[in-house]
Amino acid sequence: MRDYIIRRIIQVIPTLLIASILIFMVIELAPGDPAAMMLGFEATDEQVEAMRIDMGLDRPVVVRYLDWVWDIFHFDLGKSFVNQQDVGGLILDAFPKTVQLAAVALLIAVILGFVLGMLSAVNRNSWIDNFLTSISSLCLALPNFWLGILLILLFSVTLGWLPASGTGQIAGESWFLNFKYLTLPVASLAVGQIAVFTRYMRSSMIDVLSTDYIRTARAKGLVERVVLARHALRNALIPVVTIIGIQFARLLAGEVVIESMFAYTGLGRLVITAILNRDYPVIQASLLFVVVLFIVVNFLVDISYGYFDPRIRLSRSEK
Amino acid sequence: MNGLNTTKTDSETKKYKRKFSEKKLVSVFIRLTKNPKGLFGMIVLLALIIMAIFAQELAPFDPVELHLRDKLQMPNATYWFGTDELGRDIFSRVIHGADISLEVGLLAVILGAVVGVSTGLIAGYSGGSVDSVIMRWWDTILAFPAIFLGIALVAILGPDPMVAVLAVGINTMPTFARLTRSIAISTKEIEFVSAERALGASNWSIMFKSILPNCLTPVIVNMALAAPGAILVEASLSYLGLGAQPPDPTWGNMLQEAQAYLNQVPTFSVFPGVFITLVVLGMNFFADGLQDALDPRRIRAAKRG
Repeated sequence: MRDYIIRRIIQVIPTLLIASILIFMVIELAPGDPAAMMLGFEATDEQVEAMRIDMGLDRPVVVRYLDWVWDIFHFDLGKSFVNQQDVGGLILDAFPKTVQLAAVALLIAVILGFVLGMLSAVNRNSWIDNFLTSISSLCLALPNFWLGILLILLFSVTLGWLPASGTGQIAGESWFLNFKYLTLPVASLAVGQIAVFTRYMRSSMIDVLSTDYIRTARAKGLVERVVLARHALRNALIPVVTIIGIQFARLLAGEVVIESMFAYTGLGRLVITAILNRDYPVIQASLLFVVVLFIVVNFLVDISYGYFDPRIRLSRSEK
Repeated sequence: MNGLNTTKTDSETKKYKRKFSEKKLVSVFIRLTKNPKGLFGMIVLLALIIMAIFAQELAPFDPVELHLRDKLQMPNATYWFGTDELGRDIFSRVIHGADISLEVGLLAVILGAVVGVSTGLIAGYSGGSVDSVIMRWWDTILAFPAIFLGIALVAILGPDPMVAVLAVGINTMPTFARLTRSIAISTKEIEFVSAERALGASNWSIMFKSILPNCLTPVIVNMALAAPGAILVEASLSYLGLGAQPPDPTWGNMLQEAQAYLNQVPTFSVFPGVFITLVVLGMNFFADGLQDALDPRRIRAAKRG
């Protein structure tokens, strides 16, 4: 197991390296001169040039890249162009909110998905099953931000029950588990995930239910409910649990749009706002953070695969 | 000098191949239509293509023409879907939006297929360090969540539908590469490939004439599977304002405009989203149907009896 982990770490490092280079290049290749932008329109050429030297922009690219990496390892992520705030602080502020959103959505999706999937599998081809399958196809095709808009239409505009945006902080409330503000974003995110888990659980359960040992359990004369609960469920859960990790990563990525639309001040919104404002330090740092987060989550998922399925950790050596 | 086709003349072989593949195409088509989901998917796809090609003729109004006096109306006899905040007919805009959305989705998937398949072939056939480098590169691309790649590209290149094509296309490349790589690896050991090489065929001709035809079916299926995802990502990007810019209508940026007017014209936000959902659903069904039609022996876990 430890060998597997080490091997995976070695494989991940070049990915991280290339990703960091690509993100750094985003700023290099983007049009516009950061120094000129900081000083504004009225600055003279000499002032811009002086600023460039001051910011270290006249040094060669490779030197600047290495400098940037060095800074990152010392947790110095620079200051925002827009409001001079410490970028590290901005990210630290936004990150927990994003994780909270993803975690709550995942939790709901997992629980509901398991239940609905099991329901679907046990009553296969009945009207429940057909209904649930059709609905989940529909939910997978729905753009989640459109669902968000419809939910806002219903719950905020028409009924006035829930707020259409924000995390509660502006109103002076805490953002942590503030369900008034969490409900709509979570719902928009969760619906698609519920569909995914329902499908997985359903097919996994169907596979398990047709195996021999379930037939044996039934032949033994066990009540159907016991058969389900004790034998079928546990085995059906295994493959589904492995996709929880992947879906969490997908949720984190998919939050970008939802956060923007609900003005939920998480990581995704930070990135988008930075791009629209051309706030380069924030773009670089937050993009890097998100990508690293994504890579780390996928890495942990891979490790868990190796843990659950010994064939994977033993076969990975051929590449 | 072709490798092994020395018994028939070239033109006879070509005629035989063409008749064979025509028959196969027809039988695939028939099987596709027998499947209700596949049929629905094909109809949706056809309708979409017609909407995109004949947008000019089908749309009652010019999509960017302003009718300021009639702005923010709910659906009525003149404006079937109502009007937006600048008085433009939403129905016409939705139809023209199909054009851009379809173009971007299709171009992206084709781009992804072309680049992904060629790199996958090269990686799988060459093996060794070439293989490692190529696949490591695609693994890195996979590490970027889909939308973030688009965001990063827009930060560099500016918002434009072609940038969206690039972003979405790059997202699909790793899957194509992996697919063709594994097929290349398994077929390159088969005897006829060794025979071709012994007869002196060049590496390129082996790759493209012998290995590529094996890849065709999975690649086409993958294109059909990747297309709805591509359309969703494009919609997300243009919702964020990172794709086609106003006044050009895409379903995504129409949804963004709609959000500001939920009070006045609630239906504004409904129609573009319905179309996105319908198209994605239809393409998903089409892809499923295609998968079944191309390989009826395939046992799908969800349908296991």
